[in-house]
Amino acid sequence: MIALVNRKDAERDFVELGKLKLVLAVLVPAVIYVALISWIGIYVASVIFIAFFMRWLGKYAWWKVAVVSVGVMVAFFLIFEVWFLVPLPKGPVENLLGVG
Amino acid sequence: MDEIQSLAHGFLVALSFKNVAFMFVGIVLGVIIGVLPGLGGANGVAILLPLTFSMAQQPGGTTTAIILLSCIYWGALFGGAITSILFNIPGEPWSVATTFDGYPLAQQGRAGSALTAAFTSSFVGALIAVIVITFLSPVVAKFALEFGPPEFFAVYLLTFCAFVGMSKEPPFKTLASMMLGFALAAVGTDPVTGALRLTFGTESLLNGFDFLVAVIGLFGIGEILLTLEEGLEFKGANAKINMRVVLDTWIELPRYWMTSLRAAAVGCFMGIVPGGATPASFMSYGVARRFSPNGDKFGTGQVEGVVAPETAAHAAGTSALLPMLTLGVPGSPTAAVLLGGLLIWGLQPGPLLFVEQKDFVWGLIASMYLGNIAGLIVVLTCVPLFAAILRIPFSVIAPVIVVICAIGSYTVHNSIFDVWMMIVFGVLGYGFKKLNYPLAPLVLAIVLGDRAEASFRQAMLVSQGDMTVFFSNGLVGTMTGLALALLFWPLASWLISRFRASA
Repeated sequence: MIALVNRKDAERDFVELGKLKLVLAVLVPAVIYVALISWIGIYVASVIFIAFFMRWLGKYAWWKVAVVSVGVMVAFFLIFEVWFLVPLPKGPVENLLGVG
Repeated sequence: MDEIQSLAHGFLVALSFKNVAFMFVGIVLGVIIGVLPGLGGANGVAILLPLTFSMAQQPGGTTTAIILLSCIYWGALFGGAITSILFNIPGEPWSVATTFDGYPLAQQGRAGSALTAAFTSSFVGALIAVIVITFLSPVVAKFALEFGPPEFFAVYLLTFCAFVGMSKEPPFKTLASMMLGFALAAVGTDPVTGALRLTFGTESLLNGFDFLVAVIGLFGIGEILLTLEEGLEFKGANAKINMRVVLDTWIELPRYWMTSLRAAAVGCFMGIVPGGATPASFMSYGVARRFSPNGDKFGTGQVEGVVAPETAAHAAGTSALLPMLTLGVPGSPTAAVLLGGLLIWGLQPGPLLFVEQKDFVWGLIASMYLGNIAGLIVVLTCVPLFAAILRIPFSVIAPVIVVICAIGSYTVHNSIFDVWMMIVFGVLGYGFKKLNYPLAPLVLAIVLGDRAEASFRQAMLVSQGDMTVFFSNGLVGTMTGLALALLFWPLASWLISRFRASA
């Protein structure tokens, strides 16, 4: 752990502030994303996560954001749950849809 | 010729419709993984490993599963070349040396011939390595059947020391990274007594740190963070391969047969002695530059400069499976992940595999021949398609890759804790890369730490704490001696160079 903490200190010296911001721009949403997984399931959390990124960094139109984020997760649902029978964490939304 | 007969049987196993179908699926997935930033051979295979859990329970399913995973590996090896040549971004560490001459070629409008040369020489390198595996691995396996704990520990020691002695990174950084890996490997259940250690009373640490999660975090999330820092846009040359370019390049290639042969030899050696594909590709590029009549033109777009690193990288990547299959000691992080797969499916890697699981082993070896042929066909015909993947904006591809990594680490043990660990390992991997610490020794230490410890302690139990057991016969003595020589090699070469400088 000490090594870990030291490493983080060292990072500050070799990353420019602007670049660090970019790195944190992924890291912070990723941490929130993982927190969301245990709460509302991986599918809904992922849709929100992808949509957030596309809208915030990519500035895409809302319909594109919706199509890509939902489409990707439906594809993952089919691959994991239907084709390879690997269950992933689900939340209230999946229960409502009757696939939970 | 026992090997030929076994191999023929292996081809029968591998050529079933299902296995060939999964071969193509694996190659295509692998190339996509190799092209995408943040996904590579090691973490790509780690993420897709849980998909094979239910597959492996069917009869003959383990063979299909290993064919799928190993083909993802071949695909990733091929895919790395695409990004290096077209975008000057090495998709994998071992394709860094390919950018030296590959990207200049693409800028001159010769991307097609650079790609053809890269793919073809990858194929040649892999083919030579598979032939080596076919004939050498039964011999090694038979030899290793006699191994006891001291011999196995000597093999592990040799693996670790080879990393220190042959790595391109400073030896102390390699050592530091490896020691951190050992510390992480020690968490969980003691392999000999079964007692718990370093869990600090938390239930989540009972099973220790899973290296699959570590691989996904270190290579996947770490890479994404690093890519972000370097900017969000990829600018690349256009890729068009038509039959004419392919044939023209194929006519040109036999001229470099000596380069290929040397590169393949370097690759096979570095793959079996776990030096890995990355140093192999650099070393082979250096050797080719020294011996080639056009050596001084290297770096300006020489086809030969693409042939050398690609042949070596593929030969090393492929032959890294030889010690994994015969001794249970992986030669690269990706081989380590495949080894993890074998263990999860209930197979014990090591010399007994060649006796008890003939179908599996020879099916796999036969699939290496077929998979690389399939790979060559797929990459030669679909390059524009794969290059298009890199044109997807980063704001779309980055979150999708994070999601894929999260799903991958969750499915290893169905636990959210692993997803948190993935983030932690991601930050660690980012720090390591920024400070130029190598990641491969860390991963291998996590994978092999427990096993090396178990064989060391068993050897100590047998010899009652007498360290001379590691020099007790010619075989174990040679291996231990060689390991120590490799360990102190950087120190010795430093002393020699200092001595020369002062004299």
